[in-house]
Amino acid sequence: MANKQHISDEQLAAYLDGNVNEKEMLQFLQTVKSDKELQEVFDIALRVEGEQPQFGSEELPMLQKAALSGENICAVHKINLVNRSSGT
Amino acid sequence: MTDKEIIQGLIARDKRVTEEFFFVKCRPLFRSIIKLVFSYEVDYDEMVNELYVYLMEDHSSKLRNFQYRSSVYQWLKVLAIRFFVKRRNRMIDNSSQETLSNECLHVVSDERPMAKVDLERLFSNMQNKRYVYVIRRLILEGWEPEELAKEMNIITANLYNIKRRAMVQLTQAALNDIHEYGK
Repeated sequence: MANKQHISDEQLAAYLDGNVNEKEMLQFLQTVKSDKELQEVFDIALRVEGEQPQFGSEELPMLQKAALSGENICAVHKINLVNRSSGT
Repeated sequence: MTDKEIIQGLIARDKRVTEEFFFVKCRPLFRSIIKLVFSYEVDYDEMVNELYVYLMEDHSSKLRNFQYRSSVYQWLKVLAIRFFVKRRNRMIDNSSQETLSNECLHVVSDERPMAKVDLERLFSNMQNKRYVYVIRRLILEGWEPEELAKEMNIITANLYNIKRRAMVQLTQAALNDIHEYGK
């Protein structure tokens, strides 16, 4: 009989946040193929993610960027423009 | 509030933290989950109060055992989804002996992980190649987030957002693969 090990809520959340190593990620992707409940949990988690506006953007607002980077908002705005024009 | 302040406040049953985080900030999250899990009308307050009791049972052991491997918000999302799914299943089948433990989800530890070639197929099905790049660098190659953020000329906070969205797209590709090919 296979030796079964529980996946905790925190392990699932760590996977969704990308805080896993390669082995854990491949194990999750393998497990989801045969685990109907895990499929449903992931499906709902992805749909909820799409509905939550605060997580809908890759880009932080300018003021938040400036605060986090320690630079003034003009400098952050300039870097952002350069990034966009160079396609990064 | 930091994640640590939230966890400590919830454990201490701090009224402000509990109200602001669990009952106000998480309200849209819980509403979305309940709407997706239940195909019929349920009482929102009753459901969320049950979730709160579940979170706090056993002297807040779930909170005390939290190891900050994810954000508190992401963890609470997963915890709530699993709780409400089990709650729904129990309502559907009253004769079931199912308990509200974590016992339904398993990893078969001697099962081989997904092969690299299958992962490459999922990557090829992801539309945003920048997301693929971030997963390769951070998870497969073990780059430090600060190092990658510098290379990509973005701030680390943005990289974390990109990483989370990359995992969403990868997981969506995996679910599509299962639905399409039953693999």
